[in-house]
Amino acid sequence: MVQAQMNLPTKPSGVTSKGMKEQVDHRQLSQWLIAVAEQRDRQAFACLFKFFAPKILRIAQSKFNQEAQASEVVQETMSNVWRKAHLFDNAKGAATTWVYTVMRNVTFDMLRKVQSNREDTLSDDFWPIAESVVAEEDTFSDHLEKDKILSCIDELPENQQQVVKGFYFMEMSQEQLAKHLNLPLGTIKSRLRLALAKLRAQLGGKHD
Amino acid sequence: MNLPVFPLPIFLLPDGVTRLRIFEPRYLKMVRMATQNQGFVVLLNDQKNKLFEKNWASWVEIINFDQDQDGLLLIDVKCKALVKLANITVDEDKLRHADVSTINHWPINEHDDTTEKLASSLLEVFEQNEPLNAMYQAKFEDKANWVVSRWLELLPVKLAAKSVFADAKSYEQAKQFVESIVLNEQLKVKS
Amino acid sequence: MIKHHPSQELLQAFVNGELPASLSAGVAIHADMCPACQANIANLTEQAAENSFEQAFLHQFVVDESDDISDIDFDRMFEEITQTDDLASVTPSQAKFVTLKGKEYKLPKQLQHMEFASPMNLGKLARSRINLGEGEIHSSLLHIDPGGSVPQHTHHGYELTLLLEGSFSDDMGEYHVGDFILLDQNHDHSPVSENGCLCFTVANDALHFTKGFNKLLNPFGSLIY
Repeated sequence: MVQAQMNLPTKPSGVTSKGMKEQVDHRQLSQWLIAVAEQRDRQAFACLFKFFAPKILRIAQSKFNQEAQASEVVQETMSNVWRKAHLFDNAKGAATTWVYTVMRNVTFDMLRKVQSNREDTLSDDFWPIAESVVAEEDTFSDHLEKDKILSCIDELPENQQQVVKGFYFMEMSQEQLAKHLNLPLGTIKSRLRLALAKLRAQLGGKHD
Repeated sequence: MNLPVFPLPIFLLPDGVTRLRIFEPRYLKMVRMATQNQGFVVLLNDQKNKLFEKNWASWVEIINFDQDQDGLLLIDVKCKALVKLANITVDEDKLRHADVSTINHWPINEHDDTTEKLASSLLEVFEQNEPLNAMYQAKFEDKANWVVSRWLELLPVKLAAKSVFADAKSYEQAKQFVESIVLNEQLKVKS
Repeated sequence: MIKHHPSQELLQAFVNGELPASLSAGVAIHADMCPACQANIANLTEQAAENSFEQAFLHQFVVDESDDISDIDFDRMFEEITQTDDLASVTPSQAKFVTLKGKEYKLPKQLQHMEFASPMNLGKLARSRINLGEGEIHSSLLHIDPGGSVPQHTHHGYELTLLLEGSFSDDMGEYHVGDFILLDQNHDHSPVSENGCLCFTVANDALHFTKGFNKLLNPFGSLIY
């Protein structure tokens, strides 16, 4: 089935006139990436693969002498796209920028392996693929573990957030509460909303 | 009484327990001081939502400690009382200190129908949540104030909203708040 | 206030992934503390992505179309990758610490997965070498006790000093946390730290001391940075 979707790869069509930029449909790419993250959508991934894999291969070929290494960059990059799609944040940038980061990181670590014979993966420390917001000037920045992770766990999908929060914060997630009370999540959400609205009314709208 | 202050995004009412991971030198110093003296103060502070609580804080004592797999210090702290802070100073290690005086929280309340139902649902939560139960050293207190307080701490509600319930006169409000979230269905059947 | 920033060329090379790990770490740590460079990097990254994934640009790489991708079995690759639906779990990294002269420092996250040699003390200086396997390029964490200084020296290559904590000054002025100070062989200087400091340093050659008695220290030059 997958075979059928994958008429790969496309050679440069020749129809694109040289010097002219091919219009990259950023919104479409983002949608595919989100579908991969949220639905593990193979069809969407096939589209991403078709778009990115040949391009990544050419770039890798310019950096590595051996074909096998170039091919490894493609495999590793696309594999990270598949496995880490949930770390892509549509609001923070284009899908191309995110895939570029993934590709550059894979390339960097592989070059280190080739040149310095190191098996470390330092790239994600230099160029986080789940970029968190710029830390504010810290007058009150306590470095308690959970505070530090506060910004990164927001990057995680909801179900993973719960696991992390459940450990570091003794506060339930809405899902856990729903599970404990054996109620649909929607019910819990509307109850929380109502309770807060009521509280706000009692307090004269002073608190959020 | 002058105590070290630890600003954290944690809402903690009297008898509430939470686990902290300490590694920063200034807070290690705080723990050293706390074990020799009279605990420290957790000041509700949520950087993300720019919430700085000024009117109250939780005075805690360390009731347990351990190391995590990375050798970092874990401490369990229990809230002894709510306090008011004055004269906050910052020492050379960037640790804050404040003069602390206790303030009243809710007066003792007896169980009623609602709190008994809340107690049984809370007990279930404890039974299903081993880390939580362990942190409380399996000491579930079947008392109205305790049950409502723990529910408030556990509910996924903004800290700013929770903060309201530090007020000494907020018990009824708190009970209704928890009830409307946890017991909503039963209420409808009753009325 | 951060006054010293990486050059535009250096930022571009950083974004392209062309700097050695040592300098990449330096730029990344600086950018973490410097919103201006961070924004600059974000822009450059966006441009680099555009350039990478525009078909027209890619034509430049194609030398001979017949052999460019024929060996790669993309279908098999796709199959292998999508064999499992598991998402990579992301565990928040734990803080790591290093102790120099009895002072415990929290490491910037960019250095967390690096390997540190046990510290060496040299008078008011203490240094822990970072083992990155980059040959001539040496990276270290350098601690200077209050009142300590690095003797006047010059470089044959370049020397990066990134101030992580505290402050120091030399004849060119005072430096603060976050300052990215890259010097080449045209400079000689003698940093003094009145209140002590911690620096991340990268040098691609030993220091050469230039003044008086310190010349006698030259054999130790490679020990410091």
